Amino acid sequence: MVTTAASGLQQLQDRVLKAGLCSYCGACSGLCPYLVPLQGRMATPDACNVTASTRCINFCPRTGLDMDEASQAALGVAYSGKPIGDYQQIFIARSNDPKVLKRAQYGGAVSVLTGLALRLGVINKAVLTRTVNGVPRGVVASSWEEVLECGSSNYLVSPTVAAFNRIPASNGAADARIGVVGTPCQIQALSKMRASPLAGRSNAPRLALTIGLFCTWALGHSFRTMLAKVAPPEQVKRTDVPPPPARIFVVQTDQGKVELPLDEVRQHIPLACQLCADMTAELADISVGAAEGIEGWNTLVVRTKRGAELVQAAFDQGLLKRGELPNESLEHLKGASLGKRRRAVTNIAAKSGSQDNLLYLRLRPELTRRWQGS
Amino acid sequence: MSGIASYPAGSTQLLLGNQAIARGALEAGVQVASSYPGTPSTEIIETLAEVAKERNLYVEWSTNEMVAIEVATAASFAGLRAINPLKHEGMNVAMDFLAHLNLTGVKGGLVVVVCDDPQPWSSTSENDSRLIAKWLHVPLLEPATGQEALEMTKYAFELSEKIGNFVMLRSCTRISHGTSNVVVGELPTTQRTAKFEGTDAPHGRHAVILSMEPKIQAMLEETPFNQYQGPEHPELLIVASGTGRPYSVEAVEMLGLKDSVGILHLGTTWPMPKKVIEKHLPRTNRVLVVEEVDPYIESNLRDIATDIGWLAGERAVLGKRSGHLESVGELTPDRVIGALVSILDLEYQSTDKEYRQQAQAYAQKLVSDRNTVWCAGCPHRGSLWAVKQALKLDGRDGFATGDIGCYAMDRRSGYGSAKTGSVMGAGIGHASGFGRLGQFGFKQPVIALSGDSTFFHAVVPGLINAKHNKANITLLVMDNDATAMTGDQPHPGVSHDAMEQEAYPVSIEGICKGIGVPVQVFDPFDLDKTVPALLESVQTEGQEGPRVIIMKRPCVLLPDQRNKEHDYKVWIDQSQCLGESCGCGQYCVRVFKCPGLMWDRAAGKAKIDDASCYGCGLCAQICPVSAIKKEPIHAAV
Amino acid sequence: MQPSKTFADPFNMVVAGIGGQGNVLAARLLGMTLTHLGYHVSMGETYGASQRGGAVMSHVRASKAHLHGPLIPEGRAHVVVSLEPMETVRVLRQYGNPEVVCIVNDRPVRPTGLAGIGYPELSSLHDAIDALSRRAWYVNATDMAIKLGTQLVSNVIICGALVGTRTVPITEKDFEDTLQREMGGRRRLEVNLKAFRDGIAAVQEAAVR
Ligand SMILES: Cc1cc2nc3c(=O)[nH]c(=O)nc-3n(C[C@H](O)[C@H](O)[C@H](O)COP(=O)(O)OP(=O)(O)OC[C@H]3O[C@@H](n4cnc5c(N)ncnc54)[C@H](O)[C@@H]3O)c2cc1C
Ligand code: SF4
Ligand code: SF4
Repeated sequence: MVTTAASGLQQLQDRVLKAGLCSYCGACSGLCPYLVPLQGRMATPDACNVTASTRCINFCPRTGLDMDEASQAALGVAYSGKPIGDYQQIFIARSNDPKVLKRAQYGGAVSVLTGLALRLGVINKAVLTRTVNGVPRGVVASSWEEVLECGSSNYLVSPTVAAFNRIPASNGAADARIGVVGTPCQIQALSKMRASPLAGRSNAPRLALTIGLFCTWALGHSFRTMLAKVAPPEQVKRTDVPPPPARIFVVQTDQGKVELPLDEVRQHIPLACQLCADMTAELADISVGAAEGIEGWNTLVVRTKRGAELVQAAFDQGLLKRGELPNESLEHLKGASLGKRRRAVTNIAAKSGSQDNLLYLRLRPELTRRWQGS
Repeated sequence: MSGIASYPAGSTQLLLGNQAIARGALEAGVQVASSYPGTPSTEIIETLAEVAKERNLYVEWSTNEMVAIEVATAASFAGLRAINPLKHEGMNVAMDFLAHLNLTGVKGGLVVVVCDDPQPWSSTSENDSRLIAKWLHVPLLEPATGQEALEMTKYAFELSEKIGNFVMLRSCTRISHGTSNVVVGELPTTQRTAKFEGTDAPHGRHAVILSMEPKIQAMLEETPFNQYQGPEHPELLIVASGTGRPYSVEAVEMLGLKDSVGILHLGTTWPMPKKVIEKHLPRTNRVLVVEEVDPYIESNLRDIATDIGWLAGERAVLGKRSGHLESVGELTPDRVIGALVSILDLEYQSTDKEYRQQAQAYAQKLVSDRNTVWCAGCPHRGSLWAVKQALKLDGRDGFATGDIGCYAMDRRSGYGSAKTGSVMGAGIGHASGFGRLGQFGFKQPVIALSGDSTFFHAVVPGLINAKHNKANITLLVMDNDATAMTGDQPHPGVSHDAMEQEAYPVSIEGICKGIGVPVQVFDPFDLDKTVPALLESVQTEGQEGPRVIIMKRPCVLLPDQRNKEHDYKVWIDQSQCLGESCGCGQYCVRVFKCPGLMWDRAAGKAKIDDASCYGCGLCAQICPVSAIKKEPIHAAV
Repeated sequence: MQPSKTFADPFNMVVAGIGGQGNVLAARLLGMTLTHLGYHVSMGETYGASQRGGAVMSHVRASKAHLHGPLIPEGRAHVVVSLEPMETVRVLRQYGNPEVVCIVNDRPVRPTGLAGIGYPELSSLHDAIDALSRRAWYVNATDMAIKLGTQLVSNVIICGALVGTRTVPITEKDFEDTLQREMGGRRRLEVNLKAFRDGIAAVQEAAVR
């Protein structure tokens, strides 16, 4: 059989990997031997020969992301393009458990909600991100202990969706109900997967909960060298980016706190992140971020019914404490979100060389104009 | 009595050319033989090793060709007859020493048999070793048949002792690996005692050996190895050596040219038998020289023809320089026929045109290339798979520098990591050099490949160089307990020698440690460990000096491996196999490529080929959906 | 029984196969038999990579007149003995002629790698071999050998088939004598003799049909 058509892998390489669009979400991976996430880059050890119905190009959000289709699949409505997406509620919250607070990034809301979802049976598998030796990777947690081990943020890009893909479709996983915690690009990938005609050949039908993390940018793995100069990976307890005007990156180690100049850290932001228009994980059931200026608390954006039910249960069971998000903070959040969108469309147009060519991003024309104009 | 020692004098045997050479050496009373394995020369030593015990010979597979010739020379210095067979590439290794030995001279007869490999069938280069004899001023003999190989070998020992220097016998693949009837002679009943009494120092001896040349020439003129057959005044005189003779005889017969074309067979080709040539040249006006590889005789003959004033007017020396024969590839009867047809303006068809066209058409449609591949169960498949994975995962355009051995197949039929591959030891040498190009912007990771036999042969100095000069590289030593490429001969790392006697196994790991290089040892089939280890090794950024990874697993062609029961029963659950669809894309048969795997076209799934599978279970590790199943055959495995 | 017809001189046979199939040994056994019968025998072999799945070919040449070179000139084979169907066509391309006869082990050995996925249909190989030879005999020597308990004897089965076709100047007894001389070990000899006779039977059955 002689075929001249390029394989799916070849197309992915040409259109995404070599083009610098890959955000390292992991959606193309864990499905075959040809795409291996390693050190912040999709490695391709061998040439694939499959040309028809290949999942890699169908699932990758960067081969083309139609926001309406993705939103429809994730939230049941077309994409509104509101400043921080569609949502039902927004407030701040934190865990009541000191153990959680000790381990978590901020208020521990993500860990608490994930643990509760597992306990309630809303999900029976949680795809989280765990750091080993300084490197984050997707893992499947099914107990509270495992959830807690994943607490706190690693600012390196992580191929977390690959772990979602790797959950076997057979062996009793047919009745799996999977929850995923991920960055906006990872939630976008899952949404695209749900909308894909090949969804049936993925775990998308078993996706029962998505918790998105706010994300302004992540870091490429070249940052590891910079970090290693401060402390060996096993000694790094936590990293954080305090809100402006502080222009620092904080590294907490066994020995104490070290500050890195943020401008230098930002050198390691991959191009793919500069082309990303989503700061608040607009397609997740629940999105969680920092509560700016209120240390130890999270901002929670509840977007769907199942998200609302889970959050309510957490309050009912006294696992989360609730607070109001100051109006000023909300406005600030919206501003930041719009800022990320604007930078993204500018960067994309600069890369494509045309205002009308947004590369992977497919928006309704009026949204495109609004984002570019504002 | 066994092997070649068992043939009664006067009997006709069917012998490989190399066996005929070995028998000739035995008849000449050879007592010591040493070499390093190399196709097409290997069977000479193997044949002698087989009878070493009963004939009280000392036969050795040496560490490399230079050591081998030095070992054989020691025997000669001590008054014994010794033989040193080599392939042409091995000759290059031995040259450093040989280019001095010609000045020193020898005592006991010493014969260097060099087996050229035109085409080349089993080599990386196509050299003509005959120029070396001319360069070193030593006699050169070229047998044309198995019988002549035996006779010339015997004569070479006598000649060597008469002139006090070594003699070169030049064979080539079709002679060494050709089989023909040979009438054998008497075996000696006595042996010499070894005693060394000093040698001449080489300097100042150039004049001596030059002055010897006319004497040698005179002796060679007298031998029965240069013969003419044909009419008194042929229209064309063929001057042929080696395989050129039988091919010429056949071509002349087939074309019905017996009355018009004569054949002068030259068996002694340095110094050139000038008188013989002077005698036969005037028979004709045109000469065609038929020889393997370079126009060596052709050029020398031109010199003589010019010197004696024959080459003038319409007279011509034809051959490779005139374009009537090709200079590249081996000689064949058809090439000789082609030359005759064009020189004499004849008509010749090998078969009728229509048949040939039809055969070509069928072949084009139905016949595909058969690349030589690693055997099912071959440890190299695991080692080079890990190399490929590690380099590709690393993603910085890393590569392997290849060397000579079965693992060299990586370049053509394996996984393509090896990007160089020329002579033994070059892999580590290149790597050592690449490892120091950092200051010029070089960033690619480098893995040098080596076999176990290669390691001893020529890799150790390169490794020391890399260590001393702090080259940041990885050396992968694939230790399969044998010199596999040439047929699993022993090497210094194994515990028996060429004569199947106990030997001291030198430890590769020990040598590396002695050099101060960090060493890790793995089973090449343990991909879960080998891939990360190699990846880590190629990623040790900024680290100075080499690291060694040894992959240990025996060659499956070793007799005890060949006959052993399979480790696993291996089968494919076709209900799980993804076949051509997304998620696999025929990964096992197309990418991993073990001959034990085959494509079940009807099912559109992979299948185990029970006739080829070695039961090693390696493929079960790479199937993306674990459709390849393995079950230990013995519970203990 | 003496083959009645006269044979060409030199008599040229090609024994082809894949490395590891034992065609070098088959050629050697035939060469030894011919030597014993008083022929001048010469053989050329292309091996070296013979164990590793490459195409391997031996030329066997016999003459009452004188020793010939180790290679058969193109188009001059009288018999092609092939341990693999595709290899038969490869040999015929170079050494075939309208008068050649073929004895073929009908069991394909795929070239590995991508090419192996596309091994031609057996029937198209048969068409080619039939068209390119005066007569061809097909024997599934591999399966027959497996029935005898060892794949190793498929080469001797093919030698049996060859002798059974009477297209070589070798009688059954001539070859059996060679086996008697060359096969050490009673069991080894027995299985080889059986293999040889099975090969003869296989072509004679085919001829009857
Ligand atoms: C790369 C990155 C950038 C971020 N940028 C911002 C920002 O600009 N503004 C903001 O308000 N918040 C940002 N966050 C979110 C913030 O750091 C917290 O994750 C979030 O507020 C939840 O806090 P928590 O205490 O509930 O988390 P925890 O209960 O500690 O749970 C943290 C969860 O994050 C997941 N995780 C950790 N690292 C990664 C990763 N690399 N990729 C995917 N998932 C990961 C783990 O699975 C874990 O379950 C970012 C997070 C990441 C990973
Ligand atoms: S963006 Fe995600 S899905 Fe696309 S190539 Fe990168 S890792 Fe794969
Ligand atoms: S690798 Fe596995 S799934 Fe793919 S063809 Fe082979 S057996 Fe089938």
